[in-house]
Amino acid sequence: MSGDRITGAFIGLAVGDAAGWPASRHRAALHAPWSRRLHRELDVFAEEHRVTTLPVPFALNQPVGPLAVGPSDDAEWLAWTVLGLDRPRAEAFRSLAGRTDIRARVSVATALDNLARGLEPPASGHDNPHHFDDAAAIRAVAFGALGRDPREDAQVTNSGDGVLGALAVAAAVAEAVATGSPARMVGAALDVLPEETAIGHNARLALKVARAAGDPFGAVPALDAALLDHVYSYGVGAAQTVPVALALAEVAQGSLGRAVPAAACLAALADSAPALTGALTGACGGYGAIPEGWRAAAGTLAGCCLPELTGLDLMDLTEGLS
Amino acid sequence: MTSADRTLRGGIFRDRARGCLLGLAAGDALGAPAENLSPAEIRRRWGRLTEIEGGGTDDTEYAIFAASLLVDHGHGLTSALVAAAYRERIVPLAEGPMRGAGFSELGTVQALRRGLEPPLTGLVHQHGWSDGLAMRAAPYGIFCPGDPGEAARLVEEDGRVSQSGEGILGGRAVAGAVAAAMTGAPPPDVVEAALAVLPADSWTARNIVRIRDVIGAAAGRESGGEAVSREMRGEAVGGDAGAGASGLVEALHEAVVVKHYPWTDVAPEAVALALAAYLAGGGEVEASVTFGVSLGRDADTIGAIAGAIAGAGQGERGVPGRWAARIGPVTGKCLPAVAGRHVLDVADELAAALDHAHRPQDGTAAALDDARRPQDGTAAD
Repeated sequence: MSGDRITGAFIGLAVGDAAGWPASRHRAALHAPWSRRLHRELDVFAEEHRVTTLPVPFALNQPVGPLAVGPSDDAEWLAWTVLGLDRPRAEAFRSLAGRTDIRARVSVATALDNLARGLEPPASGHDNPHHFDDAAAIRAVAFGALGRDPREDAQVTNSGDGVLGALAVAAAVAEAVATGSPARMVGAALDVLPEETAIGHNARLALKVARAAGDPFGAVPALDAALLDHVYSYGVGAAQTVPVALALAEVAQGSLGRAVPAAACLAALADSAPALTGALTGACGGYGAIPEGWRAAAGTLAGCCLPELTGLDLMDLTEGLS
Repeated sequence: MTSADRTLRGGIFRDRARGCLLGLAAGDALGAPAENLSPAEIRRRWGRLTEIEGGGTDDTEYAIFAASLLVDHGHGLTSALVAAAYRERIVPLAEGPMRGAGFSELGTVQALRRGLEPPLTGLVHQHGWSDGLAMRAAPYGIFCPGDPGEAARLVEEDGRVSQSGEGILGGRAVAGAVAAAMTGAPPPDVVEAALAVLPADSWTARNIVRIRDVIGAAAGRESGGEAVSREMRGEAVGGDAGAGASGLVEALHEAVVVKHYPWTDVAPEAVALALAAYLAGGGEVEASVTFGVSLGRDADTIGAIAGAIAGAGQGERGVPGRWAARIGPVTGKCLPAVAGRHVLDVADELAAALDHAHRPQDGTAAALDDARRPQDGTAAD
């Protein structure tokens, strides 16, 4: 059964990644740059003409495949992590430094710069304006599913809440893979999140408001009001996405089909909260509990962040791991 | 200390306090139009930006706010008192647009509205490492002349409300530097004082060491002196304003600028660039500030910090008269609570408060006796 739950964690992450609206933005990176320039111009047009018909990623004279429902950045970085799991982590990242064909979060891009200038972990993740983001928390799904410690990996790109988010996700996924229990999964995460940190405070607050709502979709406005940083410009803070994922997974009693859509409704967090929610619930319920249509749609990587992963089948990747 | 000594000491500190806040306001105003521009674009538009075009921004207004906290609470200032002041004087007026305020202050307002207390108010928003504390840290240095450790302790009480991590360290560095500059210490010693109030294993300390190395190498190549030449700073030489500076500017950017992040108010970067400007300018206000502003990025804050430290060292007369003439009362556009205040009045209040202040934990018996004499309370008013 635990093998099914390991696969569930990986495919669940890809499903959640695909379910959030930013996936099609990331996947549109596979198109020619002029098509995204045109998109930006349409955004300006909509602003100037006050038309509420908003532009969406489109494929004029470009293949339409990238814009179909499918996984994007988070699934690719998870796969990259799995493929290089046995490499010393700083070395694995250093091999990416200087590449101009990859796309990554601010934390990772800055860490690669730091490594290139000779700054080693943990400073590479600490001297970093996005040390708090959830890049390491996404990769921690791999470490948690396989019962490994995510810290060495997390410290390359993150610090503070960013590392705590990775520890919490790894602990949660490991517990879910072992027991399938959402309650024990949440307990395992809280055990590594000190209350006096932002992520620890937010995790307990998110659980409180979600439990009060009693239902994942019903909890969306309360989570937005209690937790979201409406001031800041990026939505991938581990102190927001990890608590939301834990709370929605618990209040959905581990059901991916109930938790992920709710996470996708928190628009500002829709880049990664659905992916983390999918990983947690996928680990609880196992691969068999993931809706069949989503399994098919989310299984193949597009290569929108790491071109060498284009066409990689996540099922092939997870076979043999469990 | 005799009353004559006290008066003399008070006069010197008052002059340095005025130089510090005037330098801060001038740097803020000079740098405002250059914020977020590249050094090349700044050179293209102005050559050397030397004349103040408009008013200052949040740097000056938040520094005035910080000074008022010190005047009210002195060395007894705590994070809880700062949070109370936010709730009383900032949060109720934050309904409309708050132009020019940074992410960290607005994130803090949101956290306070959610009922949080420090340090969570500075931790839960995602911009805790911004230069929002560093930009307003100078008054803490003014209040603790010659005592960088106490200046850093006090600014951290303020910083725990709106910042975390490196954002607090940026404030400590600037407060420590100003505290040292208030004694007239030479620029290398002032920078050393900033480093002394930081953990060596921090982003801010690493960046300050990097810029010190860059400036040292540039100065060493030239003359072996401490500051770099006018040509290296890009001041007008034979009509070719700015061209000579590009090498040094590039080296400083290469040393500390974060490439893959669009916001420029990263404290470890802004504080390091400001200290670089102060070193490059040899501690002179105009040279330090104009070079700081030529670096772009968070140019108004870089100018404000460089101006504050240099002004503390040089006193009011160190600030060019043509700049001082452009500094009027603040409008309150970023912080309505301080509208109408002039930095020179604020500096005088700080100097008077400094004259009254004594710290029980380090006061000698004589100093305590001095401070307890009733006439002391009125003599300096």
